[in-house]
Amino acid sequence: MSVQATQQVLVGEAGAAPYEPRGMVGFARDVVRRPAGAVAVSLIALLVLAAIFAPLITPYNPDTINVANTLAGPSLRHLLGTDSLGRDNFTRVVFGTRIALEVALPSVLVAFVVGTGLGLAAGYLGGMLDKVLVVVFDSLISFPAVILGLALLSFLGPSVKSVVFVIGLSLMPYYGRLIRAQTLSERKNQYVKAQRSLGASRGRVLRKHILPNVVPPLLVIVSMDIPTAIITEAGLAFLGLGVQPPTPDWGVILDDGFVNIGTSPWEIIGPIVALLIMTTAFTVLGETMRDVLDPRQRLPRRRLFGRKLAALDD
Amino acid sequence: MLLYLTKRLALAVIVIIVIMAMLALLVNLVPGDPARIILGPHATPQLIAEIRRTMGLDNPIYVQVWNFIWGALHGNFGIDPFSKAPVASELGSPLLNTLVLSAVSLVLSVAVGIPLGVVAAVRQGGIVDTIVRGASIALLSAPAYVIGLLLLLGLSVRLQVLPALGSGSFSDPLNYAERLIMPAVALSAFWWAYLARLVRSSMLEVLGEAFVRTSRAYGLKERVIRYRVALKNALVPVMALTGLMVGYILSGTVYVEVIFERTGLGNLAIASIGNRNWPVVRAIVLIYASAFIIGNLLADVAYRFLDPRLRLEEGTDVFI
Repeated sequence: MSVQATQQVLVGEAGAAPYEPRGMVGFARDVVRRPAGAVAVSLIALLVLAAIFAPLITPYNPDTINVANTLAGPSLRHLLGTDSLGRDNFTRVVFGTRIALEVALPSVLVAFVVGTGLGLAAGYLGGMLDKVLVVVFDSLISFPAVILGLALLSFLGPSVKSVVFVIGLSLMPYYGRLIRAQTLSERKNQYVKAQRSLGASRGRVLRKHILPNVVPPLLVIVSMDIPTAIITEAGLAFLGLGVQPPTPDWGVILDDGFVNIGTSPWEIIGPIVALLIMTTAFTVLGETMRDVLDPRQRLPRRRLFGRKLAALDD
Repeated sequence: MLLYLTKRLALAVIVIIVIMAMLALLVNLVPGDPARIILGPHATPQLIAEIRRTMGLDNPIYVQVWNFIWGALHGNFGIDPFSKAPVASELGSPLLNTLVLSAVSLVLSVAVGIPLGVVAAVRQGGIVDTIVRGASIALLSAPAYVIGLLLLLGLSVRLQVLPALGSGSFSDPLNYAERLIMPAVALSAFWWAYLARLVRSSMLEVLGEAFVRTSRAYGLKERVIRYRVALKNALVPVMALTGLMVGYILSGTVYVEVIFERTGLGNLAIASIGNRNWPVVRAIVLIYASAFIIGNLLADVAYRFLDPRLRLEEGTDVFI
């Protein structure tokens, strides 16, 4: 923060200073002020509320079986019909929001924390450690998440914990690589050398100066990785490798719906719509944060349905 | 360039060897005796001893790692503990099917996505442009299995225009091609949206560059400017995506093969995980990872080759 404050003093109001967030609250306000950001944030809030208050939203229990009413179409009593065991599809989709967030948030958090730590160490300390970590990152990146799931989940056993581990492990090297590259360029700056020559320890430089400079751009990636994590989690469950039935998980519901797709299409519609809303909301939030952080990037493509301004052509 | 090539190649080789070692070690991380887990609780001691022998579990760990790496380099992935046949002999036809599906999807992604982006950029505000910008958001957040399931539901279950299940055989090429349509579309729809958006913005950027203005001043035809001068430069960022595309399509094949019940590596891997047939799973994972590494390697090299500015930076750090 202190460096940014100095920068602002030096550059002044008129200079083309990079985006100054004015703290987390100011940043959040700038994000919400944009229509896209506002819509995304409210959708996410809605989904989180749905996850928390799931039992209040629907009168049914996601696990209650009713063999007398299986694979029913939509009706007022069952908005999305019932599945092969007569469970209410809508209820199961609402409860599925819980598992989606329960897996996605911790796995992205683990990837972010571990990746940042290792990336900082590799970039700042250099030497043998750097070379080893680069090989580790590159080896892990060679496994797309699903393939990593194929390799590990049959050994770890399918539980929420091992799914979090697999998704976290597949995302981690991307953070590691990125932070490492940014740290490498950051440590070449004059102010780092100045700090060191003034007697600041490496740890202090890392903590007080490099970390605050390399982390904010990552928020964008965190927000865009949450949909990836949700998609992977549901995908693994769909393949039977992740969360197992009868848990009300979007992937599990999709799998059951896939088996009965000829009789009743309603079971797969619910999780698909929920998945699309959730992933789109987080993607749009990420894009909005990126635009706020770096207004330069949004010039031509942000106006979705408007025409391009003539002035931009020249 | 030569220095870069050797360093990049060396890194890829090291990574593949590290991955092989990790895969060989994996069986030993299972709590308990892997042979007993494969055979279930009612296995006789003789059977267990036999499985341990075929899987090489009695050797010290470093010998296991060495044997796996040495064997894999010679195309030998060990013995299937159930059928007693060499794993490699069981992978042939699934591998071919998965390769065909991936290649067709890759071509389809590029062949539709890039022209869409070009048209959207050239006719700004037109129909294609509006569709690209509007529809792409929905496609960008839809994973391959969602598109696959929706296609299956719409085209096979409801309209019954395309055959749903199975991959057909090469002896009936028309039928085989027909069965490729839905899986390939499911894998490439995401890239239509992504590439169209990317090419559109990169094309717009290039069209604003000074060298385009210069070629206009020299009186080149607008068509030549667009499709020969500008497009070539606008496609450079697409090259950087090839690695991502290969990764997405490879993991997508697993979902799509399960949904459309195609013969293929992904489907075989899922079935083998069900039986705890680890030698087969291990071999398939290794094939997927190697394909990903080789795809990325080719993309990196091609990227350097296409962009002369990057080609000049001899001393660039490979370890980026």
